[in-house]
Amino acid sequence: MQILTALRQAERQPHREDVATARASTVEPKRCLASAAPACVAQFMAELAQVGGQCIAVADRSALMPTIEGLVTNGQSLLSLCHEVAGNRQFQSAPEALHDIDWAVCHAQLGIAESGAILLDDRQCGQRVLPIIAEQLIVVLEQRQIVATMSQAVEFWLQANPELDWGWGSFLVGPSSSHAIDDQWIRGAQGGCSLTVLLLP
Amino acid sequence: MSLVDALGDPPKHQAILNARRRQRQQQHRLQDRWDQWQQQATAVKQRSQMRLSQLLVQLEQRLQQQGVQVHWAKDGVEHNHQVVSLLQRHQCQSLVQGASRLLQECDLAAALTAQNISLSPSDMAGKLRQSGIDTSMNSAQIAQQLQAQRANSTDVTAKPAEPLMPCPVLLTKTLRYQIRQQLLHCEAVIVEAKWAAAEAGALVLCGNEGDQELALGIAPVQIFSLALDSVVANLTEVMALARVYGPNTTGQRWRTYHSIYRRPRPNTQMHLIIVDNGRSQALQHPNLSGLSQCIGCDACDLHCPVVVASTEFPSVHQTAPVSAALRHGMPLPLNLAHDKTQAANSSISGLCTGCGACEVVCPTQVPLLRAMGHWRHQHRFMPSPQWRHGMRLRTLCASPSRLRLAGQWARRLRRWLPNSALTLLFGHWGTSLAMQQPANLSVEQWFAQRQTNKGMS
Repeated sequence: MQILTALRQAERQPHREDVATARASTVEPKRCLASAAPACVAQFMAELAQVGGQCIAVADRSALMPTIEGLVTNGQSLLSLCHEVAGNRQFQSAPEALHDIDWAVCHAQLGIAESGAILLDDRQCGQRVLPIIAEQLIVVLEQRQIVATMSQAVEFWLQANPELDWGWGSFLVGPSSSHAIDDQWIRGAQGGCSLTVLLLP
Repeated sequence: MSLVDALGDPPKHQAILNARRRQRQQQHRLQDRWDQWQQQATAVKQRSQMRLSQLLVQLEQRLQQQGVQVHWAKDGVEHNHQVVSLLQRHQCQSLVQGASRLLQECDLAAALTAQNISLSPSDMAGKLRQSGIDTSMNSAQIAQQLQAQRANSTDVTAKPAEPLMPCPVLLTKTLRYQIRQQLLHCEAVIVEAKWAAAEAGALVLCGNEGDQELALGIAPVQIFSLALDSVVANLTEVMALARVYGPNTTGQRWRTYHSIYRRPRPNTQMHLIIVDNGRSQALQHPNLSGLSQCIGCDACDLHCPVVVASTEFPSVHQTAPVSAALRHGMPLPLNLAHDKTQAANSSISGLCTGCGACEVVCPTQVPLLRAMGHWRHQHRFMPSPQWRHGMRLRTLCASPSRLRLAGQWARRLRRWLPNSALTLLFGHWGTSLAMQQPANLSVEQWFAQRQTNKGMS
């Protein structure tokens, strides 16, 4: 393989050694988990609001359905992947069949305080296109699932699934947005137009 | 809107430039650990450079285990050939493309046009450009153009019931609807993987609109292109790069989507093309090897004084020399670059003032000045047409008698030649100048005559 041979030659060049010795590995210090620090929850809520998302604190799981009913207006389609919430649409295995979903509800894998992001993977969503294709996305998250940083989120995610049984995962930092026209940030590009996190204690 | 989109409109370009700088500086002020993050990102890139071949082999193995087909391309031509053959193998007549610098570098659009394969961009700015709309226009002008196009369209669904309002929100919604219709029926999609994590065997996309994620979730054939220096060891390292990428690109703390792909959806095909295009050769060069640290964030563009100055002179390049060079494949050895790129590069390297602002703001500390110095040196000895003319002129002016003779002939010729001939000779320079009729004598002759006259009187 010519490309790999050229790369191996490059790795043996004398000038590469300077680079190797110049940079010591810098490891990000571990910071608080949200379960130990309520400040992280507050930070998560503040960051989420800043990126255009909405966070609603819910008392317990039984309060999920009434909260969602308050968001969804009559006649809109709701696809739920949470057993606590009853939807009016069935899950379809063909991704294009989901194009007219108004609201989708699913669980999140993790929430990240520093960015207000949520982590989803194909075990929660069923179809990897679901959080993108639905007009509005509602995510159910527990406070103990919030971690401090994005790097920590990756570590927890990989530690929780050492066999790597997921094929897709995505960090969502708010709803989709575009600045193609007038250089103004407009929420609602090809992905969801809104992101609501229902935060359980 | 990107800076490049606004090139046609200097005031708008300047306004966007200023806004992005403010956003970036605001992020800088807000983050007390900014310097530490820059060092982390630099260390990540440098560590991965040191064992790029191992990481690439590991990535290939992991992805193949998960059902992804991996291909290698030594240059843009080979990459495009592989894309075309993949599309033909899967009998696809159209392709959706995410916004990508790598695909632009490979000139994929031209290769697909030659094969009669239709290419549709999935992002909004790309869609506008494809419709022939200048994205630097304001919303009122864009609405007008879209309305005119729809009035002439034969597609019934494209005709709006009401006239388009010149409102960015409504226009974005209209475009969203249009692009969604295309993406929901796409047969194949090609995107650039921003980074790849070798240990997890994962490809990472980074964006705001969600267009690439939507197309990848629908299309039965998914093609990822990856520049070979974009591989790092693990996903934690990817996050270290993503952390500095968002603030430097658009002023966001984080881009909206960081999507990680490891295996294809059931009953679909996922391909990865690893593109070299001169990168492995650049890595062997002491002055150019640091360029593989670039993450393509455009921070150098935002802080280059040449960009600011050149907005007043639209004929000059309006991106930073360093960024333009990276974008046009300047790291490539000259024998690999296209002819047009060579011509562009020779002028780009001459534009750089060497102030080093780009190097200061670069989040991964790419040694840009060293590379620019190398390119300058290289292009100085490149025999361009201007250089050849210059050498002839130098030969002519080498002796005083020859110069005198040439001057005499030039003055005579100028009297007889029309202005249009001068334009042909001197190009743009000749058109801009109001050429005077030449004097009968050269300055030297006139001075000698004056001295003689003085002596006589």
